[in-house]
Amino acid sequence: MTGRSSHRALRPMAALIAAAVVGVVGLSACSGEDSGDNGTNSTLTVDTSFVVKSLDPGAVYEPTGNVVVHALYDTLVTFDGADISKPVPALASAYAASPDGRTFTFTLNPDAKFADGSPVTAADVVFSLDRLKNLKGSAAAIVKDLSFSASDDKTVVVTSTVVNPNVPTILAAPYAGILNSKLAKEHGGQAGTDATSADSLGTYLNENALGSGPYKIESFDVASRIVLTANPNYWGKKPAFGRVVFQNMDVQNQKLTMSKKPTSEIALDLAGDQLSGLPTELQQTSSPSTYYQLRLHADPAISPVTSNHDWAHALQAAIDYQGVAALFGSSGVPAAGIVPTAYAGALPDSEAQKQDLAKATALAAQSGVADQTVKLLYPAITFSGVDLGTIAAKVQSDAAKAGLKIELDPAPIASFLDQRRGGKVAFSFSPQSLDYPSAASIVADLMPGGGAATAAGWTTAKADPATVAAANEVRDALDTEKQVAALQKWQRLMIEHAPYITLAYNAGTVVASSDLSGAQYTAAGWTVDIADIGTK
Amino acid sequence: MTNKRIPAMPARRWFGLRPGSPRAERRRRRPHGRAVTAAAIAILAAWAVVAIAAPLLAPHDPLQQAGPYYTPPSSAHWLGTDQLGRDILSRIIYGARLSLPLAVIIVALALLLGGGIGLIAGYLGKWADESLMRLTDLVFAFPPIILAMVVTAAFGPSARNAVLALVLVSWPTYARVVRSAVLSIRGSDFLHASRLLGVGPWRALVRDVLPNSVGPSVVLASLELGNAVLMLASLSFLGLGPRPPAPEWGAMIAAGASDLSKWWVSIVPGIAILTTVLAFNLLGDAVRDWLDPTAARASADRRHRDRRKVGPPPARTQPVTAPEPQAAPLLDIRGLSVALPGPAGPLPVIKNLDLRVDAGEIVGIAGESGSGKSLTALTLLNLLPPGARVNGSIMFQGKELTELDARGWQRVRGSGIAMVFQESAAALHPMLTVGLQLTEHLRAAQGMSKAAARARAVELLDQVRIPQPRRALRAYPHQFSGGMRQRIAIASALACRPRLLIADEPTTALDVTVQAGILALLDELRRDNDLSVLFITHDLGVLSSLTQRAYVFYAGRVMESGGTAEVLTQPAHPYTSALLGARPHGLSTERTLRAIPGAPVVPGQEPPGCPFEPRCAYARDECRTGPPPVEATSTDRTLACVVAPDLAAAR
Amino acid sequence: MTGPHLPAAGPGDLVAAELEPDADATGRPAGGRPAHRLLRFIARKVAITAGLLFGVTILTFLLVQAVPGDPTATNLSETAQKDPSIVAAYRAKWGLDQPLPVQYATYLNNLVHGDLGTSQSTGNPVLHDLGTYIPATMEIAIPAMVLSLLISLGLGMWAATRKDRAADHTIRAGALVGLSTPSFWLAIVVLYVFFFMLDIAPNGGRLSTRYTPPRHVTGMYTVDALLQGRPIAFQDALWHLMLPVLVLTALTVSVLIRFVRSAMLEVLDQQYVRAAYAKGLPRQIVLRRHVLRAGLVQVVTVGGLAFASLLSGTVLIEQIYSWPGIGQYAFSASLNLDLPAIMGVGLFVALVYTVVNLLIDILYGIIDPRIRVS
Repeated sequence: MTGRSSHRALRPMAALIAAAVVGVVGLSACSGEDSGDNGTNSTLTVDTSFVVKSLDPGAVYEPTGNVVVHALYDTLVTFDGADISKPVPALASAYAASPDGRTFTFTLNPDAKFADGSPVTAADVVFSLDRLKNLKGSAAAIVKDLSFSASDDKTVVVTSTVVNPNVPTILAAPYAGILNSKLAKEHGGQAGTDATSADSLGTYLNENALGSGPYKIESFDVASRIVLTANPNYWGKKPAFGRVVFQNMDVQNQKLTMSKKPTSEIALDLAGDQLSGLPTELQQTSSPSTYYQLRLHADPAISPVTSNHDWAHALQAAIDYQGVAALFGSSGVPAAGIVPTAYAGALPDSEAQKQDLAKATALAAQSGVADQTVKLLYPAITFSGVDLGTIAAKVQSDAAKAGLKIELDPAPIASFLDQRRGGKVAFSFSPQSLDYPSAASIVADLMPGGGAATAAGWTTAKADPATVAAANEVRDALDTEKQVAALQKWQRLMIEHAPYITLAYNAGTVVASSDLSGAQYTAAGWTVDIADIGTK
Repeated sequence: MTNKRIPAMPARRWFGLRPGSPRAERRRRRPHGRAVTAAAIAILAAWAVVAIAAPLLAPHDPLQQAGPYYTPPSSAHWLGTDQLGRDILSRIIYGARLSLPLAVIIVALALLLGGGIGLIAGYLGKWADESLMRLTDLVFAFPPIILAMVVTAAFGPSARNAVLALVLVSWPTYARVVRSAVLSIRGSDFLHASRLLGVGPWRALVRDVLPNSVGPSVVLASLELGNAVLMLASLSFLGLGPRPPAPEWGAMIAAGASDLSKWWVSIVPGIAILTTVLAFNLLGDAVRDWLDPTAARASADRRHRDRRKVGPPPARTQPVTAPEPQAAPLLDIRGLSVALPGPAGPLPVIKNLDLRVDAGEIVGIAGESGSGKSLTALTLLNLLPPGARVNGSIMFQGKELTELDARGWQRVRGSGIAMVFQESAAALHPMLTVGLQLTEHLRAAQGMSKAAARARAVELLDQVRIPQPRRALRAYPHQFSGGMRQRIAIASALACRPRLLIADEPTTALDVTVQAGILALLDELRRDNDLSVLFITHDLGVLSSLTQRAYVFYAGRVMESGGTAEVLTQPAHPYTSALLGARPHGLSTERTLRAIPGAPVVPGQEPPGCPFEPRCAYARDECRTGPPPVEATSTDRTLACVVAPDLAAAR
Repeated sequence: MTGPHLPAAGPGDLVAAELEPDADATGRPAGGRPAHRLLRFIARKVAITAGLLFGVTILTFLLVQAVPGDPTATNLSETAQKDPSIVAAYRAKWGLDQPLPVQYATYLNNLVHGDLGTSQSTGNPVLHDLGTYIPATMEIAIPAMVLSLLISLGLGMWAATRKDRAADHTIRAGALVGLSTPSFWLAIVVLYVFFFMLDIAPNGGRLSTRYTPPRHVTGMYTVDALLQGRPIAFQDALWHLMLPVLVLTALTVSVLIRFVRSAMLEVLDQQYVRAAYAKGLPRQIVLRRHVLRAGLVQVVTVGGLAFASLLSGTVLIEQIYSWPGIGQYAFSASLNLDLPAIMGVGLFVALVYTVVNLLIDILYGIIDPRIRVS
């Protein structure tokens, strides 16, 4: 995999505007009928701020869609519970990687069958993944270097044009869900290169799941609720709950609902301060999976200030990392390196960045540009329960203590993304998350040649050779241990040399009622595996 | 049509509406209004001081962390700290530096933009007007929230863009107000005059039109200031206002909105907004009271309306025959004084009035406008404005009316004393059918059935000679001519068979020939219905042709009374003479009441002596010492003049 | 002066009996036969509405084009945005690759065929979205409007009849404070008191989580719950209406009271009110039949426009009470540069505005016979 890296990054954030900030949601839906007490034992209620457009694996990219689609469609491989260290078999009972890290062979489990009883074949897999790639949705970018073929009825070969040991991880994501190609074609599904215009399956998939997963769609209302029922023909372990109701609920109401100690109910969006004061018997699982990062433009033509190393290091030393993390309440963690602690390769907590105002002041004086004001661009939204303006103001106020002058420049999300994409932004700030659960995925983006680095004017010429070498080491590491070691080395160098300052990590948290088991937050991309949830 | 109705609704549609104020309310400044205005100014001044002296007053830097995040109010932080540990009190103090000036800027820019467009539209007229007004329609019809949000979305949230957005949503109101101000004087004479004098259109615009539209737009602008504060706070609340970390009040409220347990974060900035807006609104009301030219116009209209046209006297009706004198008069008013509430205490409008109406008699009251004629009539029905004080005695059919309670008055009205008002168009409810208006009191006061009341109504309409009475019952007043309406009003007054009918200038608004018909009808009805009539008029011709006895009113006093013929042919009082004297042959058709030099006395500003003294050709020193006593000069004549006997002697 | 001057004098004109010209008669030159006038009136209204809607589409279109951002920025992932072929595919799919006039013409053509396009941020047809969000707003706007009219008519009239007395002062001061209160702040305070402190009101939303929303018939939960015979759900939906309706009512009442009071004062000052008293009518009848009726003409105007603004302008309240109404939809559409959705809301609001104006005209006719068109 060349510098294609990836980042699920701002997409979920943008989508969350609707939910977290704007709250177009807020439907407090429903579990049972009016009595509210029927069948709670067999029904699982999932409270979340809906961010969902489609239940088509080929188009899904939003958080709510990912949770649901993961329960409807099996993928070749998957992650077990919260463990995202290694993909485990799903539809494929085994897979093998070629030594060059470019070819992956998946052997399908002969027992695997779709909800209609027909077996899952290599043709289905190729059709589904080709369709994903050719629909050119958001996820298509992640699989664009991959090609898919069936060597026999039960064997799928995936080849990558670049070295990419993370192909199995990519194919575990909800968007890589496998459809019943026969039924899909019957209802307008197309996988050819003209799929963008030729495919007309999308809306059908909002009513009917054509997958082999543990659940089927009972109803889908984008504004209020999604109801799933267990797939009676499921070929794997039957899920504990026969019925799952996703209800669209704003965060405040999620807190209220969970405070009342419900049964068989989970909430997906509680974060930061909202987690404090919940009843202690509720189960909380979380894993810091988002990193909040400042990006400084490295080109003096864009900004003589942010490209100034002393200024950048002064800022790095001026920031009160603990204080920033505290803005997220109990779920915030001060940044050590770049990789959030949910992922392998994160630096240990002991290396957390620390404020050093004396150093900052000295460096600021030394920079010679401390008298110049620089604008900090950030999206004017609330993300994970925290207004980004608050974080930006904290940075501004910390910087001021070292004599650095920052002016805040909030922008509507569309304008923010547009501006930053243009590569002319001197100084910006945003939360970032990973495209798929492998820390290596962020390396290419942040290194010269990658999108983030290009937008920040960080070219190979400007980059420190050792850092570049460390990045290459990450890319070429074909086994996990090597990769972790390389990542840590790379991050330590990045702190010194890269035009990024990572402030803190924030967690996704799943809050579950006390009667449930297996309701674990996972950084795998689908928040929680609904089919894993059972009762104690 | 659309234009007509939209101006009432300015840009505040989305954030909360604010009406313009009632015309009725503008007429009089309330005495306590000044204290309220002073309080409003004091609040604003206090905020202004806070804004200016913010660095001195604020205990902490409003932008820097001063304590832990979210601490409740304590001695260290009186109003607590916010999400970044900043001192809320300090932020509120600095917030005044944003809200107040920005509100002023928004209003000023909207006034300039809208005013300019309104000026151009109103002055150029034609297609320019049409297209500009369609543009205001468009902005009005466009959801202001979207307009404002797209503007801020386009350029990013900042104080400048919030101001821009709010100006864009609010200018049409000003455009409309200024345009109508311009239109109202566009056709006026002095503009034509300046055109004739060769003044170019743009100079005329600047010289004549501009100053005339300043009044209404300043009034609107002052009313809009508070609204601007609200709108700005609303945008900030949505994250579309001044950029963080600016201590904008609306944004401060937003910071606490998501977690109610941190109530202090939201509550206090709201109070800051509330007090500021309230003060601005009170101030706006005060400015409107001072400046609103429509208030002035309204009173001008009233003045104009009072200057009634006086037509020729009607054709003579039946020769007047004096009735048999009776033992007890039907109506006997003694020592009646009435004072109306005024800005500086009670205002005496009727003073020491004696008046008598016998059964079957037509008695006239004559006098200039404002002499208390109509007030006397209203006093007889207890229809004076609230707060009026009545002293003296009003005996009607042997009952003392001044001692009645509400229910008692209700029984007298309509059934005992009825009234026909001066303007027939105004006295009938325009939105209710004639039938309802003729029957409702029959049913309410006399408990008639619907059918019986309708039958009576038909009978009444027949009596006042309305053609096709049954059909008329279903019609609305506007479907009749003025004369017909007055007949209907008379029919309505007679419905409950009253003993006394007060006719307050019932023919003044009517055409001459119609007048004659109405007067003849009244006289006829009097005879047929065993009715007495108290006839109020300023028209001496009508007085002489219709009434048997007459009272001449001036400044709330009876100047002279007696048999109509005597009073008019041998006036004793200089005022009566003056009324009559403008013309050589006494009862000529061309006589007007305006011929008397000087102006009538304004209530509350009477001279200490005889009220007519300043205009009287015969005034002497003793006229100035005190009001002249009312003296009976013969069996049936009274006179209030100390000079008259001498004048009579001299003649 | 009550009411606007519309073509007056109906066919049942009885003027003929007395032929004199009369200064006070409403005899304005008749504009042809009444049926023709009605047709012309309607035609004019329709033309104005169409022109207005057309203007709204142009204005929205231009406004959205003026925004520097690009829908791909909010609708594609950051990774996908770096891939030109994906961006191109997205732009082709939504017609963004066409020249502006073509995009606009396409939109208009679809509009004429009843297609408002598909929202880029929800993935639904805009018409479907409007059908979901508008009833939610209606559900709070209609009760708030009805309550506001009743309360402000009552209080406004009370204040007018007690002019300059304690009741009048209290009501007017209350209205002024109401007018000066930031709506969103009031909503928060009310929520704090009734939910947080007293715990007698819900925390927002339309229905408690334990109930299933009723099937979509009108889209208003209370109505649908009743139609489907679910009294408990109805009760719960009603309970959720309480706070938003309370706040909207308080704010609208503050606005209306001033209008009602001044309208009533003006009416109380009229000769015909004095005449009604002079006839011996009881005060109650005079107030109810004579004063209220005449005052209504003016109140209807401002009431109608207040209702129009309630429908389009509750975004702040909706946000605080997590109410998925049209204001919220507009807000998120604006932030996401979702052109079809913004257009849809713009058209809806303009339509409401013109329809309300038309209804006001019709109501005038019902209330005031002088301006009845036919």
